[in-house]
Amino acid sequence: MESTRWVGSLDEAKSQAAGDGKLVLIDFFNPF
Amino acid sequence: MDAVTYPDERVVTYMNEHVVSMKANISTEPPPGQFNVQWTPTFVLVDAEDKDHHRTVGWLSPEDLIASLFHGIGQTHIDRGGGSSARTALQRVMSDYLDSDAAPEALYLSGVVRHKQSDDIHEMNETLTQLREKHPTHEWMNRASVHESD
Repeated sequence: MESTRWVGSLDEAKSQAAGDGKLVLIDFFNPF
Repeated sequence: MDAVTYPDERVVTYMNEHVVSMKANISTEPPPGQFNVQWTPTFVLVDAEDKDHHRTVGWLSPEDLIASLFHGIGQTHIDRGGGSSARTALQRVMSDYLDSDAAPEALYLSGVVRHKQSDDIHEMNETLTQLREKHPTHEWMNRASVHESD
């Protein structure tokens, strides 16, 4: 089953978004 | 989010097709200052130029997350002057996620976009009617009511 693809950094996300013409979704979370 | 929303098949499909997704653990790395994140979870949609177009605070169900993303993509098109594309994205909130938290604002914004495109204030009348029928006590009904005398 497919799962959500997560990228590891904002720079990587922005670079990929620029290439794909997409937006970046950032989930700011705190596990505690 | 990891237990319910992110594993949802509809969420997986939507996120992989429409956005580049990343998680930022603020307990190990403070968020960059421009995002001004005070609460978690906070979901922020930004473009490749670091412009912040939309944010939502608090846990979201699968339906509310997808609706929020459609809303955010619609808002991004508005920010960029793309009225028709904005209407398409906002319409998806109203057609498929009318009970979501994002629906009242999406409905309002869609009315504003139609008004701007047509230069006809009466476009807001239909929006007011829909808001009154579907979300009569919502804050966006109150905000839209300023147009009732137009």
